[in-house]
Amino acid sequence: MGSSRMTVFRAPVARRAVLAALGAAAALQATGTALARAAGQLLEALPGKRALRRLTHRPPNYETPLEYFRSVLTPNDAFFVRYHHAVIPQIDAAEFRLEVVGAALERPLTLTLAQLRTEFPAVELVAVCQCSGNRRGLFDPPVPGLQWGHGAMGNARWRGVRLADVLARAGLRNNAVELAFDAADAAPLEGTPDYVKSLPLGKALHPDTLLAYEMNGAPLPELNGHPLRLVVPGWTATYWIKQVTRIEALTAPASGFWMAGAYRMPRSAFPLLERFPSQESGERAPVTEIAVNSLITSTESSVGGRMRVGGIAWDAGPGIDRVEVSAEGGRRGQRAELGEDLGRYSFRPWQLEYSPLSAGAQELWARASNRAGQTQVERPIANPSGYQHNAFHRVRVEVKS
Amino acid sequence: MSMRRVTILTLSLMMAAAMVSLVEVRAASSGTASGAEPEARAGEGRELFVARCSSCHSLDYMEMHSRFGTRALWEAEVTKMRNAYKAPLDDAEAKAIVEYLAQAYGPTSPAASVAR
Repeated sequence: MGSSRMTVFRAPVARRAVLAALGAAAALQATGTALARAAGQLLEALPGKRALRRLTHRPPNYETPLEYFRSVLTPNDAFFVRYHHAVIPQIDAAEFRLEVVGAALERPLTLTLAQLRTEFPAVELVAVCQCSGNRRGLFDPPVPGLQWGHGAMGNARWRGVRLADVLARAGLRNNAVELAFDAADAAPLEGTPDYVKSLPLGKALHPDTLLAYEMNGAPLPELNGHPLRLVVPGWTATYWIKQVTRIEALTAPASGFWMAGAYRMPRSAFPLLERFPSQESGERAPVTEIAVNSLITSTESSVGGRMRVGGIAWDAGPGIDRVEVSAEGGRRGQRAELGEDLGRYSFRPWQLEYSPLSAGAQELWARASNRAGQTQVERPIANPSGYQHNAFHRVRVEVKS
Repeated sequence: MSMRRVTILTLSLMMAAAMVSLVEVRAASSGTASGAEPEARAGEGRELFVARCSSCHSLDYMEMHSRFGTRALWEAEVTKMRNAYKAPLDDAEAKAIVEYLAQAYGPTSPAASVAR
């Protein structure tokens, strides 16, 4: 992308919304979430974004505050921001080029954004984009890495073209093993491994895997991959390459650091529906699908020990089957009513009126299960990099007498 | 929406002259008050640490890990930065930086009570 301007990411100076640690903690308590570790972290508005919780300035890593998960679709300007490298280009949509190359292609291509918009059928779907390390900050004992709370995720309506349609035009040969995707960002040091991720053929050719140019009816935000990003429904965000500028059809498995050395988990600890066999090496397997999960987003106590509880649940695509909310250490579960269904990769809202509860302080747990028989775990599954935290969501509530 | 990122160079120039450019960017936007990148904590080895580490990332990564920043953690992180991210540190520099981090960003460091 020689014609695009390159920038080193800097936090904005003006129009900054900084809340004191106490204020942030109070706001979180008001939502029914006790995230003590958030105290001391700041809410700050990046260009084009509302105030998000800052983890790091550079590269920019900011998570979505819990209040935005009360709507099923996450607003673009509240959508989380996550980068591995600090040199982030601003790409003019008119200048953008996508290269489709590699030894396993009949006809290498270069496509403009206009060609993608006009020469291929447009497809829309709703899908959750969730960082593999979402909730890492809640592991106990702690695990090194970005100390995310609940907000390294978002749900959006993505519009774009099927990756399979683009690959069909380029003519994928039968010696293809994986497809690799290169993002336009870069590290300040030349030797730092470029951020390149690959997908197995089955996932790359799946009709729901998209090259998206719109998010919730608008062009992608600058900090969420403008002008084109990969959308891999059901899989964690590490594969959702932002500013994808190059696709390579490989005849051997990708071997760069971001595949061979990162985003890996002990295989036996995480039974997966969708595996990535060409990237497995013994017990170390790549993170793939999003684990079934839920979040309590609102609680409202009323007279008579009643508590209205609302939230969201999601999984990798089998679809949410049920959500139970329980009090008294999980002994008294009540089933929530599932809300609007925006598709199998979307957040699914739920709510219930739990009763009766005894007055005073209580802990409520939410637990989601999906149609594949997967369910959230009571304790997060320990793993060296702190991925796939999907323990029951627990909140402290105060019940009126 | 006005983008306030600081445009500096094309990619090729950027990659060739990354260290120099970053220093310029930092100088150009210094003097910001709240929300500015955190300063490195006091301690022996601070200057070397800032020179070698802050060209690629802000130092809030250190603040974030300080509540459980044992010596073993910092050793593992510095090793990862050298092996995986290709941070240009020789053995003596790596050792000095680990010492600094363990002292300044450990759970019992003098700054820990202030930062948390």
